[in-house]
Amino acid sequence: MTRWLYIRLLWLHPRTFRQRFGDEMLGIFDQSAEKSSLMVDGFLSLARQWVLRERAVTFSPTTAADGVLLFYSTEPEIPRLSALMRGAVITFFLFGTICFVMSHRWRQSGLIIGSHHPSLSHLLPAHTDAQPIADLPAEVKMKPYPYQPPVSAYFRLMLVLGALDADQDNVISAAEIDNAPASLWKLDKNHDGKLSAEECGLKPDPNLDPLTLGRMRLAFMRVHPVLAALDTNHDGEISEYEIRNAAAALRTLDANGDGKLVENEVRPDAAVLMASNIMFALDKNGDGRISPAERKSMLAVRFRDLLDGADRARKGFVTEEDLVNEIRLSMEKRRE
Amino acid sequence: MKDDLSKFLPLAPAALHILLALAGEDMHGYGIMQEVARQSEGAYKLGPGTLYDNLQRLMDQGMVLEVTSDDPRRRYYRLSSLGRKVLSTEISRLEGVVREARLHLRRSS
Repeated sequence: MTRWLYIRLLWLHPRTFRQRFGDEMLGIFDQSAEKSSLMVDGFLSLARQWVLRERAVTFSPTTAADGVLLFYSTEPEIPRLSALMRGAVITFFLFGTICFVMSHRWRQSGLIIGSHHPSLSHLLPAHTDAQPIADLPAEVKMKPYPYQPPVSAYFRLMLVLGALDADQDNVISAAEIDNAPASLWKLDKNHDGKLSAEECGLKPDPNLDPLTLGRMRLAFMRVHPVLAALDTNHDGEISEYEIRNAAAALRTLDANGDGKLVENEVRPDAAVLMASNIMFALDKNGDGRISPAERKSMLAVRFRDLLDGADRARKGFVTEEDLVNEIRLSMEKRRE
Repeated sequence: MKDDLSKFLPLAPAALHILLALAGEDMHGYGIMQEVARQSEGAYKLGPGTLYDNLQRLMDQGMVLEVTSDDPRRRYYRLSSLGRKVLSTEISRLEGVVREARLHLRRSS
């Protein structure tokens, strides 16, 4: 193995030196018992030959007896030291440019190297056993993370998600899940010990009648996965008990089991969202069905094809589940 | 002539030891390494990389010649007349250095 390495080392020497002394150096290597010191000598020789020894090609045309200029072709030689120096300067400049671009990437996530999900959550510890020290007269200042993705529109809309995502990186980390009860308490503006749909992010029309408002609250709490997970008894509110158990409830949404929640895991299904909106608009009496009478409204006419497709069994009414299935079917057809 | 030799002086330790080793007889590379180790009582050991780098330079300067031998795998090297003169001049210079050093040491003691 060492002989093979020494041969490679000799092979890396300049050609003229290698051809002239390579065999002899290998012969000495074979005879000598101190292989390690010869390996070191080989490395030093390699550096010396390439860096210190000048290999300027002497080339000058000469004139033959008949007066015609004679030219000689030379063996390929290594670059001159000055050329190597120029190469080193160019390399240094390019390296500096890359470092500059990496540190000033102008919010271009495509230029980030080293993290698929750039997030402060990757830096924050999830758990600590250390006791908090209240009287420590120290101030910790953190430099801002060089790249901060814009807060997702969905996280802005859903006040619960905005409160849970304390570092606003669009990821609810393990630490943030553990801290969920404390984060949710901050949303309890009226201090009644529970979170209503409005406190979770619903912004209803103030002129709605109480019945419609109630249906809207229930639909809002049911459609959004994070609210549905937190509102375990599905009464349209997140109670004190449900807030205390928020961490465990949120972990049920962690589909890939990586300990954190990303937007894909908390976004509502498009078909479910659309079906819920249609049901809310057409199911006037709130019985969970769109009856033939309710299908006569102007709005229902716009969804006639969809409603006809949803009532494949000819039951005479359409449920939200029928709508979800029909919407998914039409989405798949559109993709094909 | 002395002025012509001055451009080679002082000799680097490796070059001095190689010329000294070749002063007695023609030698191949491994023989030179062993002779250098013997002359310095093991205190100075030449590696093949250092040896052949110096040999190349000494041959380019005309102080060492490559001679043919019966063994095609080994090349033998010989001290040229120029090499011998340079070595003699270097030894004289070193003798002067040693003489001066002894004189100064005697005065200081």
